[in-house]
Amino acid sequence: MATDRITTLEESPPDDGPQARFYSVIGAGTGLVLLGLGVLVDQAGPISALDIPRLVVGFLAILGAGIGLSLAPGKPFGWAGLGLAFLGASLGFPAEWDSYRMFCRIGAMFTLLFAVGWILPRPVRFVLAGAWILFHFIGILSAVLSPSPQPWSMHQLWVRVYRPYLQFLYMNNAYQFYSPDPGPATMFWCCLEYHLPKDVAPTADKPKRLVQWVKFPTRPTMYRDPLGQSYYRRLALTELASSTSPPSYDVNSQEYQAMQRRRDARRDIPYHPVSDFNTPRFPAALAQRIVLPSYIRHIAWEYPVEGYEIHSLKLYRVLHEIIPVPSFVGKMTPDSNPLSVYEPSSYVPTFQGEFDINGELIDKQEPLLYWVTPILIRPGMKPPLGNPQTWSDEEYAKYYDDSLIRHAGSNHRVTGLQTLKDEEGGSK
Amino acid sequence: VSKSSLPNIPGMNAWNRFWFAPSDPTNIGFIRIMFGALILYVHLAYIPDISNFFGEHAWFDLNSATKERKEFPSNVQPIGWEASDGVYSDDKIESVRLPDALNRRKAVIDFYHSLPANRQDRDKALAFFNRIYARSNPDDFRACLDLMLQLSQSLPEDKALHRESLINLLFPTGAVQRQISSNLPEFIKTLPTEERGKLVDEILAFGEALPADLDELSFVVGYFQIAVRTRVGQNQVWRYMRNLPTDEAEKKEAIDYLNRWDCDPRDPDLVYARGRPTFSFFFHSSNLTAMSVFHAIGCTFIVLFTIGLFTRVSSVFTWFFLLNFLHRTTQVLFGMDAMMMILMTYLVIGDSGQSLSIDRMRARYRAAKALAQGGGRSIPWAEAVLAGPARTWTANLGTRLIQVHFCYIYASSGLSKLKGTMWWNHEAMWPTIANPEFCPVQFKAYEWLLRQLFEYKAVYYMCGGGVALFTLALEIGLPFLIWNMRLRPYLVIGAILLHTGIGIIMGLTIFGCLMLCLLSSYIPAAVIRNRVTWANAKGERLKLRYSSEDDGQVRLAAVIKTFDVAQQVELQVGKKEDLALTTGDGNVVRGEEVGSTARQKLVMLQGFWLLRLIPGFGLFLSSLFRLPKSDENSKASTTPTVSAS
Repeated sequence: MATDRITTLEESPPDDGPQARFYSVIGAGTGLVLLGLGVLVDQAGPISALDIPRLVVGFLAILGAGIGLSLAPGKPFGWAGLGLAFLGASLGFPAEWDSYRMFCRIGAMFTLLFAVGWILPRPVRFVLAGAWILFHFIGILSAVLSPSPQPWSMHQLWVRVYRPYLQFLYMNNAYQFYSPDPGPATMFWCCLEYHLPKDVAPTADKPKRLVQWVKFPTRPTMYRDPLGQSYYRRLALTELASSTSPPSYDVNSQEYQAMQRRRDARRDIPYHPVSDFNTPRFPAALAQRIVLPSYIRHIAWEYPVEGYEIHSLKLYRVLHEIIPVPSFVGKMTPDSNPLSVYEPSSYVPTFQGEFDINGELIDKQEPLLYWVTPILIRPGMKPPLGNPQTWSDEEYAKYYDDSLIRHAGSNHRVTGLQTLKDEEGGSK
Repeated sequence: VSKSSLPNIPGMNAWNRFWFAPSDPTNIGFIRIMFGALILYVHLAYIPDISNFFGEHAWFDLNSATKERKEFPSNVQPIGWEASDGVYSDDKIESVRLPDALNRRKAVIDFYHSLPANRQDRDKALAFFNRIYARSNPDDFRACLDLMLQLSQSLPEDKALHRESLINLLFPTGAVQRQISSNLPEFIKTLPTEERGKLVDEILAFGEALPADLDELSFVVGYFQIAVRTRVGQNQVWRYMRNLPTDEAEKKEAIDYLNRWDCDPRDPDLVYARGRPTFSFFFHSSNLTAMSVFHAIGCTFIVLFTIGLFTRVSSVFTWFFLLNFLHRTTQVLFGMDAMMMILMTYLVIGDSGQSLSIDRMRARYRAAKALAQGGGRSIPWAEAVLAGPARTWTANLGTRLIQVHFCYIYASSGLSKLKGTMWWNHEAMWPTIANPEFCPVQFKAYEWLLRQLFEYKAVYYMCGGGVALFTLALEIGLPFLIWNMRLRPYLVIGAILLHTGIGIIMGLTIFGCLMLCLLSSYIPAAVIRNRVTWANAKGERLKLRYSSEDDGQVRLAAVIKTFDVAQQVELQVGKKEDLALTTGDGNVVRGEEVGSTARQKLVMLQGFWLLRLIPGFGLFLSSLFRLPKSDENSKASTTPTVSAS
């Protein structure tokens, strides 16, 4: 007996074929049974109790066929088995899991093509593999060239051919890091105003109105893991929502004049000394209508205060300008002090609107909507070097004219809850 | 596929050699381990933020994500000079775009909603618009819209009097021309008398459809005047209003779509496709427990992939798992995630578990067992497996894909920098090293160092120039020069410096590490095998005498040979009681000490010192190298364990 075994082993390694065929058949069979079951159930009407079993069975079918394929990747039956398992799952998964159904359809198409491919003569297989490589890297080129100015041909290729392929693989990045020029980061500062429910009388412990500022991302509180993934992901949140689109006033002078009139009426909020900041900056379309309202709803969800209702959320997009080198080393003027990178006047807040908890803009004609509410060094003042965040309010007010505090009606430098007096509340 | 068995396809041989010539998989195995450890960290870091990023109330909430997934339009330019409706194609883009100002936008949307769903009623309401939008002189169109504004202020409150008043206003019979009639476009003034009544009815119907509020009316009219400032716009707006669905619910959906995405999805010239081909568990389940279970399963697959267990399956599941996270919320992604998917995809294609993996160890064990059972016979396939991982075309393909993609990344990054001014005037360094949101300026020493260093302007510009030139030269030059094997080491070292700098100074540690993983694809597999892992002929020479008749001894011999990646151990067949391990200095170890001594002498296991810190790992290794109990082995274990030969 032992001799037989040794003789066999001398000739070739143990054959995984039977095992592979077993797993492939089991996977494909389970997938096809699931397919039949799924069609029947879907025709009978949704039965939610079966959702999880359908999902689990679908994944087991794919896993089984996947094991079969992994044991014999060079055999067409492995690919065909997995293709059938995917096909079964694509209709066997509950209809509500439509994105998984789509994934399985793509998986089925891909694996069944491979099954056919393995039957073809070897030179043909090599030509096809080479063609795929060419196709793939032309696609990567179309993604790389997708930012403006985009060649017409690449635009057509990108939209009509490659977009679904590369978005599915998440290989649609243009890799234009720190270009054309490296720029400052953006933050969001949000002022949440809480009110006592109408049927509850205020007491000394429970004032009628509270305010809390939420700033993100902030390093000290959001750098939660050693390599700061939680922080950088929040920084990405702000980057995506910070793009602005050219305002339409260039074709609508009436609206521009109306916005300018409303802005001019707020004489208590000075214009920013840098003229670039003195035009209204509309958020880009996607940010304005989809992303920012979603952020607002999330902040409202993440920062509730017990016993209070959220009345409104004022959102500011804050560009954190990088201090120029001469200011940083104190050489801007012969007698100037060096400035910190956290210099308050380097934060440029632009009002994005006051929202309700559903992310709806409360006042679409708020005078400062999409205008900068600047933080400025008072004329003639030379703030000493240090971290202004740690200064007292009196010292801060001595050096800085903070129109954000005036506009919001509360102090953004305070962390945690603040009581809002009746006459306070900022811009009305 | 062996190198010689590549098919001879005229014109494609060099191409085939580049992509498919078999190569040592050590390289791609090494990348897998580094990459796996990194993505495990990235996904463990999600734990406190699962709800914040992927839940129903996430930053980008489920409702918004679903809308984006199902509705996001792919805007496209028509292929020809003319679009399907015959207009110049470039003019069509965004011509139905709504005003940015939200009050104006709302007025237009409300107007669209107020249009009758019934086609006949809608045609009647828009008959005046239909009459004026196609005028060859755009001034006529504007003048007619101005007329609507003026009429809203001029007509009496009593609607019964409208028709009569309007006729008098537009077509006064007296000698004195009124203000309104004097500004009328010529085509109205010259309208035949029998047409005038019809025109007045159309104006009244259109006036009924327009907002009653004066401000809103002016916003809607203003929108028309802007949107239709070209003939294309006139066509677009008219077509949009006319072709709105007749079903009330569908009409509402179409208008809401326009409000959300600023385009008409029913226009094939503008919207090529709707929705995104994305999938995610989190689109369908936002229950925290379910999300956590899914996350745990995914992390398990990452661990399996990293250690290389069932790699062909675990790598595909890891790829699937990663995409579930990435597709759900693109808002929290940055360059690191793009690098992650590049590596993941190519490691799946490259079948990265062929070396430096548990799978490889399992294959070695199978071969070693066959060899040990063979009792000294030559078993070619087993000897081949134990000699080292076979060269495969998948390993080469995976490596090449990474290499070429890396060139794309560098070329795009370098060339796009040339569009800016700061890389030309050498100012680009400062915003990258002094950006408070990225750089370690929270450390006083770093801030102090920057201040001291750039106290002198010349130093600042010399450093800035050096950094800018180094970055540009490397990023633009590497894709072309890296294929020269003499230059490759210098370019790889330069890129390592660049990404180490990015990791430390700009805080993007994981991004930097992933770039280093990509860069590892350029390091020859032999260098990794000899410098990083365990090269042949390293360590002490050992001789293992065992009996091929005893299953326990065969198993122990197979285990020892499995871990003998440096080819230290020579197997010798003897009798059952002869079990012994002869070390390099001539000492002979017998009985149960054979396993433990081999464990200490094998260079591969000496390199596992870090893994021994994992609780239970030492015990696991000991159990592997333990000689199974049998009568003969028990007897052998009673004999002196070490003796000089």
